[in-house]
Amino acid sequence: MIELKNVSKIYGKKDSRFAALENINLQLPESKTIAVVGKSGSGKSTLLHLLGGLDRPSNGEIFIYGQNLVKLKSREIDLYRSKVLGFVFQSFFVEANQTCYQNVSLPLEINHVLPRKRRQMIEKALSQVDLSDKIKSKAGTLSGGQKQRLAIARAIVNQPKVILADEPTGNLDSSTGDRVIDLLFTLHDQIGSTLIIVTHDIDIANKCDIQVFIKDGHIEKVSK
Amino acid sequence: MSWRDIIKRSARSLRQAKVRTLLTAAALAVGGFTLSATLAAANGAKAYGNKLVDTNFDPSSLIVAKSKDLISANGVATKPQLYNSSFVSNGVKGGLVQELNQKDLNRLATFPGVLNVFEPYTSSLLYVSRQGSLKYTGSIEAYDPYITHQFVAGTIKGQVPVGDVVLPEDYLSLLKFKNPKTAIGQSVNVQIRQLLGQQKTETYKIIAILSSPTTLISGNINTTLLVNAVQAKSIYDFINQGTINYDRYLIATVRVKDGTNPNKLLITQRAIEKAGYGAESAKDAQATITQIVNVLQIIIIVFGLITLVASFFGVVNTQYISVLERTREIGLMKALGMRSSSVRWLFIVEASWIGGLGAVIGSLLAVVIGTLLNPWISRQINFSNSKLLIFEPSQIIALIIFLIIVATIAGLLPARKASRLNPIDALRTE
Ligand SMILES: Nc1ncnc2c1ncn2[C@@H]1O[C@H](COP(=O)(O)OP(=O)(O)O)[C@@H](O)[C@H]1O
Ligand SMILES: [Mg+2]
Repeated sequence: MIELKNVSKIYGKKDSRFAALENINLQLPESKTIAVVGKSGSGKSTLLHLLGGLDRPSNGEIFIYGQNLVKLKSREIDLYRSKVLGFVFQSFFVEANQTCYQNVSLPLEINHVLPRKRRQMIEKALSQVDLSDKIKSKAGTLSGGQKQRLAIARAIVNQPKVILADEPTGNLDSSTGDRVIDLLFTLHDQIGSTLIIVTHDIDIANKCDIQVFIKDGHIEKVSK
Repeated sequence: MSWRDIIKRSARSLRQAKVRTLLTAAALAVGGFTLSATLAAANGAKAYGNKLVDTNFDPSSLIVAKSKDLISANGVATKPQLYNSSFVSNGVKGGLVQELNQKDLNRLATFPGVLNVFEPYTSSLLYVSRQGSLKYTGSIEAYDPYITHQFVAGTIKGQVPVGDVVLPEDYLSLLKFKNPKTAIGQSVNVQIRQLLGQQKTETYKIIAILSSPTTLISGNINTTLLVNAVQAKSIYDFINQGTINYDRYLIATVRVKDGTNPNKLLITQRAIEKAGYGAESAKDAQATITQIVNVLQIIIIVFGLITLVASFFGVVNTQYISVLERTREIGLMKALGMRSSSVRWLFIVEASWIGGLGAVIGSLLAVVIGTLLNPWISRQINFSNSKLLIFEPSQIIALIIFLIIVATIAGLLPARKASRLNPIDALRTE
């Protein structure tokens, strides 16, 4: 269960005060696919950053699997990010001059996975995103869709409980984007993790179990 | 992230920026090169100094002169002395000085720990010659059985017998000997002249040929014939008879029992000095040379360190740029839960790698170039068969470690910047 209670995120002070999120109350069940939908600037990324522990809310509390993120120390937040979460970003953020193997290896290194256990996990993750033949290729040589699949392999190699994807198809053409979305859904079924996708594409949103609509920092509606 | 992974990742980042890495390392390599060459040159100079002292001084003996002010310059005055009518030593730089006499020599033998007192009775000869040869200049003095002499032919057990002579190698061809072996047993004439008139010729049998020393402080040994002490004294007395130089000796060598033990040597030295004599050990002579070398070394090391300061800022600069270039990568690593301290170490270790690389390149170049040029340099500065550059592996390892530490310190600030990056800001650079 993921729960937000009275969460606000306010930037600036006094005259320049700006509420990117205001009084958000939300309950999301585990192991479902959830779409966060809204126009650009509505606060979707801000919400995702709060859930990902990359940022702290100005007010309110965030419970994920019973843990109050707001109360965690920085070491515990790091552990939460490396053990519980998998991130997928709009602009991939793969290391162009490292091989696919090395890219996927990063979360395992951060997690202190023993070196002899890594290879098997990396090979499995790469085969799940259909990049087994690119294991030794430099990430810079991949196409956009392949890069995003590589990023997905990196996100799932740790078997995370929650996958956070911020506009994962934003930099891809529609057919490549569809393939990436299909892949995310397939992996969600295989791993059983909670999948939260930020998007402004209503077709993608409709494929999810739950849609959270955001407008100007407020929740407009939640459909199931 | 484990140390292993941090070290591997930082090395990989450097490999991916080869040119930048090598250029920064090159800056450090210059410092490493200078410092290792300096250390090697100082080693060489010290070794040369020690060799000079070893071949010219006996470590277990003291050089003694009549007064304290006459030492450090082998019995020569280093500052004006109050004149005394007993002063002698004409023609010696420093003016007349008070000299030792036989009574002093006998007294010196009574000091604690003294094994014997050796006086060389050095005299100038009129000339040295042989039947059918030209006449050559030379000097003569007593053979010191306690000093290890290098002979190219012949052997001596204990003292040189009266009537025999040890001939320096340089005279061989002048006196028309075909080779050292054939000279043994042959006779040689020395002409001596009294300061007040008479001359006489003495004829000696050659017992051994002294090899020319390669390293000399005073160059006269190649022209000094060695005979039995009794004979040397009689020549000295003959030459100086009736003059003020008679029974006057500039310096004497006092040999100390177990004198290689510095404490025993010092006890005797102090006792002799307390009695008003001047005394100097080989170590004192060595210390003077070592001091000169040390001062030179410090000067060059300071220059080496200045180059290092430049390299230091080179590393700081490179690492700052590296952090800026890799803002997104850092943001991603932190977003994935990498600890700030691990990020910091990643960049620190990167700087250490650069330091190690530069240090190894620099010192390796110094060793290779130094070893190749050593014979040439030695010839140029008339170092004979001594090496100017002596590379000590332990020093080089210490230097490499030092440069790694310098580069690591240079990496601290940029690494701190990297570790403090906010992952959201870093990832927003879309
Ligand atoms: N660090 C910040 N300082 C000030 N305003 C910010 C900051 N980050 C985001 N915002 C503002 O918050 C709003 C929501 O941003 P974001 O969550 O990125 O929107 P979305 O992802 O829905 O497009 C935007 O108006 C944005 O300009
Ligand atoms: Mg966004």
